Amino acid sequence: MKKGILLSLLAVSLLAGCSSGGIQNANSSSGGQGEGSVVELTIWRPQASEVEDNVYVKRIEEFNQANKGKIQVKMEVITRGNSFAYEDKINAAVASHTLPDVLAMDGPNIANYAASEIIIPLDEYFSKEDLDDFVPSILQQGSYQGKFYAPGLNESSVVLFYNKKIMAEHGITPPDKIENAWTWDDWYDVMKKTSKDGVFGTNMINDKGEWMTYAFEQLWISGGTDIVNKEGTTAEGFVNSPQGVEAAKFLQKLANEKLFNIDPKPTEFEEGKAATKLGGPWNIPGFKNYPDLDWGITYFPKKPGGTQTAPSGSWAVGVSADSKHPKEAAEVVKWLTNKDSSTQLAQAISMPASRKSAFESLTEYDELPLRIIKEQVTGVSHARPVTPAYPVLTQKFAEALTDIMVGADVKKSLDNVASTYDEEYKRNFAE
Amino acid sequence: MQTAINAHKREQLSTFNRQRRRETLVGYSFVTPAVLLLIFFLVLPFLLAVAFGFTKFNLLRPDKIHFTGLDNYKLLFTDGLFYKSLWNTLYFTVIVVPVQSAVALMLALLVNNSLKLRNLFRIAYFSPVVTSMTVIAILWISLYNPNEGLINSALHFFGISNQPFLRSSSQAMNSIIFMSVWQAAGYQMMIFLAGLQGISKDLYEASSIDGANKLQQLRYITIPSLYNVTVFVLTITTIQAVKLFVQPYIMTNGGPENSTRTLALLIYQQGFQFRNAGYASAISVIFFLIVVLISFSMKKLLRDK
Repeated sequence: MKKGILLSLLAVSLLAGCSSGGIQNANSSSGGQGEGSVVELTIWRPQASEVEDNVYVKRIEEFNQANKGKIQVKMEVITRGNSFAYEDKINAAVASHTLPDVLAMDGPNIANYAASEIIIPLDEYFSKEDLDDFVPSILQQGSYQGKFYAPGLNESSVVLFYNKKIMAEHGITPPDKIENAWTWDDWYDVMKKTSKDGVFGTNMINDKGEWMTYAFEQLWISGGTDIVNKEGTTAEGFVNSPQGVEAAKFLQKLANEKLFNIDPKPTEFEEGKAATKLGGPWNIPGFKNYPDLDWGITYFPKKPGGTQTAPSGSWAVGVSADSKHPKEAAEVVKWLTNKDSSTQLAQAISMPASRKSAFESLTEYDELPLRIIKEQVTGVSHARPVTPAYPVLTQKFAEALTDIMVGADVKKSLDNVASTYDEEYKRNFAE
Repeated sequence: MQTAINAHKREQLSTFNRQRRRETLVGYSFVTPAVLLLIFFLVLPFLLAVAFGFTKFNLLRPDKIHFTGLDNYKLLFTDGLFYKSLWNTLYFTVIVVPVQSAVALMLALLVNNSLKLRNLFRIAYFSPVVTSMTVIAILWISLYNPNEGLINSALHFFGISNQPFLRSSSQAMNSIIFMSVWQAAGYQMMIFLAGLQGISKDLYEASSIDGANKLQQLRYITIPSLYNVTVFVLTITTIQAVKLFVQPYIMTNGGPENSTRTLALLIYQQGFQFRNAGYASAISVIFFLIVVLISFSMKKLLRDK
C-alpha cells in the first residue's frame, strides 16, 4: 500500500516538474538595471541563412563593444519553421506582455503592429537627413498614419531574369535602359516565341501565398490603380477596378495559353526549362550551381502606356511597446539600420540595401546586371499596402489570383476580394 | 461472547473500510495527473472557446476583448463561406468513410489470404500511414501536376488529355479524396486484419463440410463476425474525415474557388491568419456540435443487432 502512495506522489511530483519548466521564459523581457547602470536589452529575429545570421551576430557584438558599460544587447534567434511560427510567437508574447525590447518584423506587418500598439513610433530618434537616406519604399513601408515605426534592414525587388541562350536563339535583346523596359505585351510576345518543346515562356510562381501579392500587386499599380485605396480603408473600386480586371485578365491569358507552369519546379529556370523568370536577388546565389545557365536581368514588365514599377518590401526592426528602455532600444534599431549595417547585410545576402548611401560602396550595383535592381529599388519601387487588415487582404488577393489562373471568373473573384476586405475592415478597424 | 464476536466483526469491518479508503485515495492520486492535464488542455480551452464565441477578440489586442452576445453566430449563419465549408466537409466525409472502409476490408482480405507475402503487403500498405501527411501531400502535388505530373503522363499513355486535378474547382476535392483514401486505408486495414485473425477457424471448417464456397463463407461468416470491428472503423474514420485539414491546407489552400475549404481550414484562417479569435471560436463551437451529432447518430444507427 505504502508503495502505491509513494508511486502516486512520484507521479504528481514528476508532473509538477514538467510543468514548472514552461514558465521559466515568462520573465519580463526588459531585463531591468543590471550591474551599475547597464541597460540590458533583448532583440528577437527569425532565423535566416547562416550568412545572414552571422552579419547580425557581428553587428550586435560591435554594438555591445561600442556601448560597453551603457547598453548590452542579447539576441534571440527564433526558428521560423513554417512561415507563421515567428508571427505566432509574437502574438503569444503580446498576450502575455513578454515582447522583447527590439523585434524584427516582415514589412507588411508593420502597419498591423502599429495599429495594435505593439510597436512605438520612432520619429523623435531619427533626424530628417537620416530618414531621407532610406530608399522611399522603406519609408513608405515603415510608416503608419504619418508616424515612422520601423526601418527596413535591407530592400528587395523583383526583376525579370532571362536565359541568354534562349533569347539569342530567337534574336531577342532584352532592354537594359529603364525607359525601354518591356511592357506586358512585349513580354507576352517573348513568351509566345520561346514557349515550346518543354520550355515554358516564364516561371513566375514562387508560392501561392505572400508572393502573389508581393509580385502581382504591381500590375495594378502599373495600370494606375492599386488593390486598396491609399488610406487602406476600402478595396472596392480598386482591386476590382477596370484596370485591375485588365491586369488579372492578362494573368489569366498567360495561364490559359500555358505560358507558365502553375505548379512549377523551383529550379525550372535554372535548368533551362523556362525562358524568363520573375524572381529576386535571393535567386542569384543559387544560379552558381548551374554552370550551363547564362542569365541576364531586365526590368519588371509594365502596362503598355502605364507606370514603370517594381515590388519592394523587407524585414524591418522596431521597438516594442513593452520595452522599459525605448531610448536605448531605439539606439539598437538605428545601429542595425545604419550605413555600415545596411552595406554589410546587402553584401552578405546579395539583396539591395535599404539606404541610398550604402549603394555608394556597393559598386557591383553600378553595372549590369545588378544596376537594374538598384534602379528599381531607388527609383520605381512600391511597398505593399499599409493597412491593419493586411492579413485578410493578402490572403484573399492571393486566393483570387490563384483561382483566376486556373480559370475562375475574373470580375467575380476580384469583387469577392473587395467585399470580404471591406466588411472585415468595417467590422474590426473602422473608428 | 456475542459482543466479543461483534467487536471482532466491527474491527474487521473498520480495517476493511480503512483499506478501502486508502485504496480509493491511491486510486485518486494516480488519476490526478491525467485529470489535471485533461482539465488544463482540453476542458478549459473548450470552455474558453465557448466563452470567446460571444466576444469580439482580435488575437493581437487581447486587452480590447469585449462581449458582443450572439453577433458571431448571426454573422456565421449569414456567411456563405461557412455553408460552403460545411458542405465540403460533409461531402468529403460521406464519400471517404464508406470508400476507405471498403478498400481497407478488401486489402485486409487480400493480405490475410496470401500468407507468403503477408508481411510484404503489410509494409506496402501501411507505409503511407506512418509517413507524415505533409510529405505525402507535397508528393501528390507533383503527381497531380497539370502539365507534367506522373498521373497525367500515365493518362497520356491511354490517350487521355491532360487533367487539371487540384487546379480545377470540379476535380480538386475528388483528387484530395483519392489521395486521402490511398494514404489512410492501410490503418483501417490493420484493424480489420486483427479482426480477421480473431475469427475462429472452426467456423470455416464447419462451413466447408456443409459445402459452402468461398463467397458464401465471406457473406455468412467473415462479414458478420467483423461487425463490431466495422462499427469501430466507421466511427474513427468519420471523426478523422470531419477534421480534414492538412491536405487542402498544403495542396490547394482551400481553392480553387473555395472548393476544398473545410471547416477546420476556415477556423484556422479566421482565427490564426485573420486573427478573429472570437469568430473562429464561434465556428469551433458549431463544428463541435456537428461532430457530436454525427457520432451520436452513428452510434444509434450501428447499435448491436
